[in-house]
Amino acid sequence: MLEVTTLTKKYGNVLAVDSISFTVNPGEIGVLLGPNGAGKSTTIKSIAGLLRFKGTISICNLDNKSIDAKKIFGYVPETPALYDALTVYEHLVFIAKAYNLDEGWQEEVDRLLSIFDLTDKQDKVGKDLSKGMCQKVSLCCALLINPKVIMLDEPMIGLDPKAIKELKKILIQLKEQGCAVLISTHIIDSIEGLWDKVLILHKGKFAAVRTRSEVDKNNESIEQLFFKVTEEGE
Amino acid sequence: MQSLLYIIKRTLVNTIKKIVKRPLVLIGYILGILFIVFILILSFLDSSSNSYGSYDLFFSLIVTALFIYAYFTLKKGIDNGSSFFRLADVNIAFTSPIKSNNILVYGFLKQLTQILFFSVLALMQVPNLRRFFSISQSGVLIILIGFILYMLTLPIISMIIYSYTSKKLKRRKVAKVILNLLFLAVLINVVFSIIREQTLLEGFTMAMSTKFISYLPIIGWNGQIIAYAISGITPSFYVFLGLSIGSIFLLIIWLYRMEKDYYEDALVSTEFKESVISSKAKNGFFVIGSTTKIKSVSFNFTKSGAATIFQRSFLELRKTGMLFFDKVSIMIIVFVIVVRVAFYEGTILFVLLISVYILLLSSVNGRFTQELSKHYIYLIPAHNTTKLIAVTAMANLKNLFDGLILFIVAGFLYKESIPLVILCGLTYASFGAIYLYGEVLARKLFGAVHANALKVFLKLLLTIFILTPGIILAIIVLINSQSFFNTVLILLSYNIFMATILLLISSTIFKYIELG
Repeated sequence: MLEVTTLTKKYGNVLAVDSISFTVNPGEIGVLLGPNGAGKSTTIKSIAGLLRFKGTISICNLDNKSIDAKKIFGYVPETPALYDALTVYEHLVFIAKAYNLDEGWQEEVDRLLSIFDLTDKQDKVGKDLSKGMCQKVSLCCALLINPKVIMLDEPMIGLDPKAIKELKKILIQLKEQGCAVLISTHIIDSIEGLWDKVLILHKGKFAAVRTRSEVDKNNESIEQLFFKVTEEGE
Repeated sequence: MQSLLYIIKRTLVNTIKKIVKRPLVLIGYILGILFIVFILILSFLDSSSNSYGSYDLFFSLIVTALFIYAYFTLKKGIDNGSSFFRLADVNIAFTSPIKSNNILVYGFLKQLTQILFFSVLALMQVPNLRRFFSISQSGVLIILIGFILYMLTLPIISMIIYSYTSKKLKRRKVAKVILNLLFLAVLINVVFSIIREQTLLEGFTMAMSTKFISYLPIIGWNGQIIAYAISGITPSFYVFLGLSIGSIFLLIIWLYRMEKDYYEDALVSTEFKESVISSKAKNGFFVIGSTTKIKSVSFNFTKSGAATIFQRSFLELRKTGMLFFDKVSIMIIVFVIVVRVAFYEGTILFVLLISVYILLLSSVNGRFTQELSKHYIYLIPAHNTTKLIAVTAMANLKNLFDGLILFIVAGFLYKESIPLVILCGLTYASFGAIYLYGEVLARKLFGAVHANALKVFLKLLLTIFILTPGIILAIIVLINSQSFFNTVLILLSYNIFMATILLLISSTIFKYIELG
């Protein structure tokens, strides 16, 4: 479970995120939406443990910056940066070693490489990969650790249709296995049919937090909800 | 830690594998290494090192270089922090369950490998130093130790300062004021000392080799370590070595204790570093920052074909206000005045030699690398040579402008004739053209990455095989005719000839995008 409580982040005098709280339960897919500058990236980076912040973030009841929390947390950043001189396979070996994965990770590596059509690219170094391939490697790295909580920042960008289909399938599998999934995106259509909870950030605060049943009950789409709450009072 | 070492090990292995796959690049690296070894052996074999530069002068020069480096590093550190990491480290290593102190150590190891690479640059200057100072044979090692320790210390101090100042804007402003005041105090002290002593060198040496500066933490200590290259190792060397190494350990502990959560600072500075790296890769050193104002300028393209490239460059210059007279021009004027004051018996020819050597070490050709990254240049229907001339025209004009400024000032100081002044300015620009087209050729042969890595070696190759025959020819003319004008004229003619050959050979770089 991912639990964020009164998360506040200031850059100098600018309040980027203003005391937001939310949870993404096991087996739930949460979607973080918001216009540019709403505070999504700050929230994502805070959860990933890259920023200092006020408030608490816990991953399965563990402090997000603790080693134990990191062991069960997968992160796919918006900009997939890989090591220039490491091959695709070596990236995954590094992850297996860094996360001290149990025996059998090699089979999982092969499975992931095959799913994302990377088997024949496994000896290519990071520098020679296209943006889409970097994104696929980045996804493989996050999935390899078999996370309990996974956070994906614009995961579909750069992926080919087959990879998008596979990723969606994997996200549903993760959900079924009890993993808490948080996706941040601008492309509302890309998460259609996937989400359980939508969190709309606007000017550093939540403008709306709704479950799928609540949205369905009001007979509105996320897109309609998004524009309604972000354009109110503007 | 084992997993982090895996990254370093595999990076090294894969880099070597890639080099081995390209025979020309491999030959380049092998020759480069052999060249460095050859130069070092040669400088070691030459036991007749000169000693007209005193220990105090050596120490003063070293400490001044350390001060200047510290000023710019710390200034940058206050603004953007300092990072040992790349974005891949932030995205992958920072979010992994590896202790942050292990990641810090990994960052240091990476930094160390980079510093060792830059040390090669320092090594290349050893023969020059030995020409002026009596550096012992073990002195080379001592210089390297001092250099590496200093290069390791400053990023840590930068990170500590950034960690402290980034939290409040006021702190950042105060830190900048303190830094400026400290370095202004050193500068004022030097100026007063020069006025008091009435001579530049003595005044400078008196100001920079005081006991106070010798014992100044970090700068003074590392300066002392490097200065033992002249005086030879004494027990006090180990004291300064201990102080320097000890300070690195203490600073690391301080950094770690002060801010266990250094990821945010590293993230900000890494993102900045990454943007600089990608700007350099795309645009060379000509980077339009986010704060650069773009003026609205009315402009008509009057030319067609390749000439439009030149017109576009000119339009960009007008829009950004980055005209010919810039910091480099100011530095050149200061440089010629310093040379005149420091070397009373020097000549305009001496100024020419030193200035083209500095141009060789610092040549920044900016725009042509920017053009190479965009597809338009490859598609414009014009002859490759014309395109290369158009692309490099602005850099050549800039060199001509700087050359003329330099020699107008030098001509005034040395009371030389106008024709000689103009000739020297043109010759300065012709050296710039050789460096420029030499670099284009290197990119064509080795590709951008390896041309950059082999830069030092390629520049030396350029000096020996392309420039030296011209210089020898000029010396012969000077001995026979005793005329500066004839000497510079020969040099200019030779350079134009060589620059044209290099231009013609390298012009096919615009044939395919992969050549750039």
